[in-house]
Amino acid sequence: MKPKNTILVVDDIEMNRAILAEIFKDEYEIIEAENGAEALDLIEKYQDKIASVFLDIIMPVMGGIEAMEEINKRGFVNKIPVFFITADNSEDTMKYGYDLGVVDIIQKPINPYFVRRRIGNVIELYQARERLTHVVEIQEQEIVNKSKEIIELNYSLIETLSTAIEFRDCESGEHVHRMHDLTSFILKKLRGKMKNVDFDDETIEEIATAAIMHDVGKIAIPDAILNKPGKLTSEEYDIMKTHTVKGCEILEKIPQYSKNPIYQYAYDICRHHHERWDGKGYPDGIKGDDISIWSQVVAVADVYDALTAERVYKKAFDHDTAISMIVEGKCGVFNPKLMECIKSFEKDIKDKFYRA
Amino acid sequence: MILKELSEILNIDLATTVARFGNNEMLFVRFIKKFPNDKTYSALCEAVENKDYKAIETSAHTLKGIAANLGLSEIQSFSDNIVIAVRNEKYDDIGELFVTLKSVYQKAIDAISCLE
Repeated sequence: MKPKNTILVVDDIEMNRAILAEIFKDEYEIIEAENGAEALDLIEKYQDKIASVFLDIIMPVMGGIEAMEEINKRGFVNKIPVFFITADNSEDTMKYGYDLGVVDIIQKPINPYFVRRRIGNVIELYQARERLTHVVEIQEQEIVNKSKEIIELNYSLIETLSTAIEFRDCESGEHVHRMHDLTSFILKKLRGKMKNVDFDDETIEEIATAAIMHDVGKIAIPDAILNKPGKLTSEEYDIMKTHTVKGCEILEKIPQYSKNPIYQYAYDICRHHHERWDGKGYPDGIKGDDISIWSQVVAVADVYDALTAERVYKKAFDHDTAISMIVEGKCGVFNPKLMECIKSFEKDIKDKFYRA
Repeated sequence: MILKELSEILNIDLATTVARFGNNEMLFVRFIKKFPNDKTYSALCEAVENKDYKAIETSAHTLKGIAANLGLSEIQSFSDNIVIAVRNEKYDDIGELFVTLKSVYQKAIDAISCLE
C-alpha cells in the first residue's frame, strides 16, 4: 500500500496557498484549489492520494463551511484529515467546524513550525490507522481462508471415514457422494415449497455433510450379518437395526461434538433415517413431524439410491419404478407433502442422479 | 529601499514573517511586492461605497488575513476592527475606521513601491 503523499491547499488567496505549500513542499506533493467547489472535484479525483486538506473558510463560489459540509456528507472525514486554516476566530464557526469533522483549526497568520508539527502528527496518525486497518483486512482474509481449509479438511475426513465404512458394506464411494448431493439437491428444491423448510446454503451444506455419516453405525455390525448374501433372520435383522443407535454412540464420542452443527445433524440422521411417517420405522418408532425434515430427506435419498443400485440379493430398479415405489409407500410410508414435492421435480432427480 | 528598512517603516516583525514563508526571503519579497496589486483592498473600497455590509465583512476579513501573513500588523488590526464592527452591527463606525485603514494602507503601498 502506497502512503498518501498529496496535500490539498484550498484558499482563494495565492499567497496563503504559497505559504502552506512552502511548509510541506519537500515532503508532499501540493495541489491547490481556489474555492470549495474546486476542492471537492480534486478530493473526488485524488481521494486515494490526499493525505490532508487545508481549507480556508471565506472564499468566493463555495466557502470552507459549505465545502466541509459536503466533505462530511460524502464520507471523507474518516479517511482524510481536514484542517481549517482561518483568520476567523469566532467561536460559533470553530464549533461548527469541529462538529462537521474538522480535525483542527489553525489560526492565520500561521506559525510554520507549529503547523508542521500539528498537521504532521495528525497525518501520521491517520496513515498509521489506515496501515493497521489494511493489516487487519489482510489478517481477516487469512482467517477466512484458514477456516475454509479447516472446513474442507473436516469434510474430507468425514468423507474418507464414511467411505471406508461403506466399503465394508460392499458399497462404492459413490453412495457417499450421492447421499451428499441428493440430500443437498432435495433440500434446495424444497425451499419455499414446504412449511419451515427454508434452509440457507450453509445449513444445507452442513446437513448434506452430516448425511454421508448416516450409516457410520454399520461399523459395529458383524460382517456375517452385514454381508450375508441371503435374507436375514429376525434376530439378525434386529442386530442390523442397531446400526442407527450405534452410529449415535460413535458420534457422541467425538470431542467438540456438541458444539458442531454438522454432528448435531449427523446424530439425528443416524438415529432417525429409518423412521417412517406412520411410526412403523425404527429404532424409536416416532411418526409424522416428530421426525426431523433432514432425517426424512436423507431417508428418501437413501432409499432411492438403494433401489436404483444393484445388490447381491436384487437387480437395480429403473428411476420411474424407484420413484413409484417410494411414493406408494413400498419401502415404508413417507411424508405425503414431501412425496408431492418429490414428484414435482423427479425429472430433475432422474437427470442428475439416475445411473442408467 | 532594502527589506530591512521597509520592515522598520512598516513595523514588520521580519524574523517571524520570513519564517512564515519557510525562511524563504525571496518568496516573501515576491508576495509583498504583489500586495499593492491585490484586488481585496479595492473590493473593500467598493463595498464601503455601496454600504454592502456582507461584502465589507468578507473583504476586510480577507485583507486581514493577507496583511497578517505579510506581517503588516497595522493593516491587519484595522481590517479586523472593521470586521468586528460589521459583526456587531455598528455600521456608523465603519466610515471612520475605514479612513484610518486607508491611511495605513497608503503608507504601506508607498513604502513597498520603493522596495528594491
